[in-house]
Amino acid sequence: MTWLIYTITTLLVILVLAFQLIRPQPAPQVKAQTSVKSPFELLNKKMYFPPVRVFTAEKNIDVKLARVDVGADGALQTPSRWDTGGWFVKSAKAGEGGNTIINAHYDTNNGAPAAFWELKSLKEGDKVFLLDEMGRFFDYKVARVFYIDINDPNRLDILEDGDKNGAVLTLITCGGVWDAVAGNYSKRVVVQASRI
Amino acid sequence: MNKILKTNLIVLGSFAVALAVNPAKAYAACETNYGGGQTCTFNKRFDIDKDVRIEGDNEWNDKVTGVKKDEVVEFRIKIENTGEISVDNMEMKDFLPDELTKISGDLTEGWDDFEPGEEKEFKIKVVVDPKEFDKENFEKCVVNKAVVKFDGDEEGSDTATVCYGDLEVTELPKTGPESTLILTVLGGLLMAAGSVLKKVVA
Repeated sequence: MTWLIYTITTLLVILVLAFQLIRPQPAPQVKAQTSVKSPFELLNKKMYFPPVRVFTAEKNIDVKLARVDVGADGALQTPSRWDTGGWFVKSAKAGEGGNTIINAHYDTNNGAPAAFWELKSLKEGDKVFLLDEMGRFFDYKVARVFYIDINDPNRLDILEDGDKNGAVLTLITCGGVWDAVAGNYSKRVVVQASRI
Repeated sequence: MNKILKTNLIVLGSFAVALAVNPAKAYAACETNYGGGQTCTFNKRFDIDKDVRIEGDNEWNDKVTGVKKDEVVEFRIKIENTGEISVDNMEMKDFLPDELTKISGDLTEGWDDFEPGEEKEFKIKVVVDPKEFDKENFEKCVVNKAVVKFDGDEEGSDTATVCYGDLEVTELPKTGPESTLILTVLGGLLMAAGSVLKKVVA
């Protein structure tokens, strides 16, 4: 009988202590301190990460992304795989203000379609999505689809940083006529999209 | 006292003395042999993995490129005890190239009681020496090496590469085929076959 009394008493003490812990506490009076930054304010700082995938809703484009940089010859590098896109490491990250630049092959050595084969069929208003390393999606709407000659003196304008207040996505692949002697296409297909 | 017991006591005593004289050594796994004596297996093994990323990135890689002036580069050195014994007197030493300036972390770390399966992780943050960017239109890569030592002896190493510069894009990417050799050969074969057929028909 004694052990039963001890057990019940112990359970009661535990219950009272647990109630003390979980019951709502009155809000402490805090003096306004405008100079101190809340940790939530720091957490709210927007962070952007490199894109790892680009895909479209309307067209058959769904491409994983690798990182590319400037080659020794000054040309923007292309990804080493036909089925992969290349995100330019010096361009804006996914969703970030500025210009996010991605390029991919149009066709392979055998003439088979490569990652950006369908880029030419995108139209103004089509939606393009970027997925970043953290698994976040960023939506863009195609604003412009155009061809630019590889000898156009203003061709590098498409790689410029752009307005940091607006996020722009630039997708590039080959277009025009294949020049067998130069080993290059005469134009580039450029798709520019704005973040929505 | 029988012979076997005496032998065992001598072996155990010697082992205890050896440990007391040189406590830095790893503890070996010993088994008593049938008929007397012991066989001790001294099985130590470590894995070292060094990675790098630009501060703010999520993924770690063996190499980062396009590092800009004042951009913070993070190195991560992971060392795992993949052996079967606990060891003391472990050391990690990082050889930072002259072109990189440390802003946080230690280039040398030492620790004891490194248990099997345990992993140690060290992080070092650096920036590229601003003087390196005085040049124009260049790209340079430097290799940072880290070694793991046990009792002063190197047990393994790994490297990570940092590339920086101000190379600017002067040409659009070449997004077409890289070689049309296959198509040219196929075209040639088709032409040859066509001319043969033409002669046969004629």
